[in-house]
Amino acid sequence: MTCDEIKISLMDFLYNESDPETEKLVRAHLQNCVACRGEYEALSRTSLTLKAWENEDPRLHLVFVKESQSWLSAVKEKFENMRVPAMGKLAWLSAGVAIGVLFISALLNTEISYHNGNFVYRTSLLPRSSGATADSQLVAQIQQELNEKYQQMLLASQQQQREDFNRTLAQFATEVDRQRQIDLTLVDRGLNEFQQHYNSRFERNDQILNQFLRTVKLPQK
Amino acid sequence: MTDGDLIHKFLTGPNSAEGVSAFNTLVWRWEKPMYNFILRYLGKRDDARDLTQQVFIKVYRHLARLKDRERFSSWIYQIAANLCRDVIKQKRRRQSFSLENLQESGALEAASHAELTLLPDAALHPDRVVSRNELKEILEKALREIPEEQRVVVIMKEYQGLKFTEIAEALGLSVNTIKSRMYYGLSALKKILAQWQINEEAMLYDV
Repeated sequence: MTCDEIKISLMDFLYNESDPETEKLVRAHLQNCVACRGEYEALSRTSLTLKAWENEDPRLHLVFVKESQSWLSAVKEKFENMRVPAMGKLAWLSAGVAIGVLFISALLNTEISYHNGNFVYRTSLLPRSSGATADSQLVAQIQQELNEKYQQMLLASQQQQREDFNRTLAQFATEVDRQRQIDLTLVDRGLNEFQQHYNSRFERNDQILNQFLRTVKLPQK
Repeated sequence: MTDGDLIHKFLTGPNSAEGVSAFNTLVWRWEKPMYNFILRYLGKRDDARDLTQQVFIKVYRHLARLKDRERFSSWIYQIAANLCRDVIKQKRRRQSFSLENLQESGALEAASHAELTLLPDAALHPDRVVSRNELKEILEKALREIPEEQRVVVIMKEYQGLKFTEIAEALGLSVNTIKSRMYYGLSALKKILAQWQINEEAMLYDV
């Protein structure tokens, strides 16, 4: 090993990074070469002197906190961090284009139909009107029918209510009549009983009076 | 718990309380080494504070892209070194602009004379024993004297204790290039310190 060659190996040797074989070679060279030995010792001293500059305490105390993220930046970050393969990118791109085309065709009211072996393509900024009017006519017709049915049902229900009411009224009247009949009979019977009672009282009084008169007449004779 | 474990915990739930706590543990572990690395690289405390924060913001954002979690150390130094290089480039751009102005006003000559004052005071008194603080300043200045490409390697090796393979990985260079830069950087520092009459004796007296 020459003095020039040793320079690189000397660095490994100085910082204890050389493999055993190189270390042996370096040691052997340093023992024999005064110049290189002097160089090694000087470099070793320099290294030692450099160590006198001690580490400082920055007193930074950095602390990372969980930041509340807006949903937009979260989505953006997600997309930025996402490592999509080329095919995946293509898929995303085509999906985006498809959605775009659908959106534009919806805006333009695009219609594609198949009639008698031909494709018919139609776009318009306004929605097709004829179909809409037919629909509204049908709706109006159905509404009218519904209205009529509703009226009929209303009338029928009113009729039935009226009949029910009349029937109940008649039943009530007959019931009142019957009750009145019963009451009148009871009053009649009561009156008869009252009359009989008084009649019997009068008869008895008559008897008593006659008897009394008879007893009174006797002493006059 | 190793850095790899913490990274795994963070990546499995970056928004969960556990994930955030794992990341903060990682920050707590690396805050001091990062700050000191950047401070030695750029020489300014304000820059070092700002850049340390930026390093961790970058780590937070891109940790998912780190494939080999055992290489986190090289990776974080790579981020820090790149940020430092950007700052140096920006400053150089600003400096070159101001130099043009100086040339116009004829003040460039005066500036080159001013460089002499960069020599540390202690160097003017060879027999004086330097205090630890003075020595720190001297070393700071000495490191600024050597080329940036050598400086970063010397800092990573001497102060951050990285292996040559790790430095090579962080800087994206071959291991032999790193060792060669280390050798030339260390030799240059040896010469500068000898010029300023700073040796280990001056340091040892103070201990």
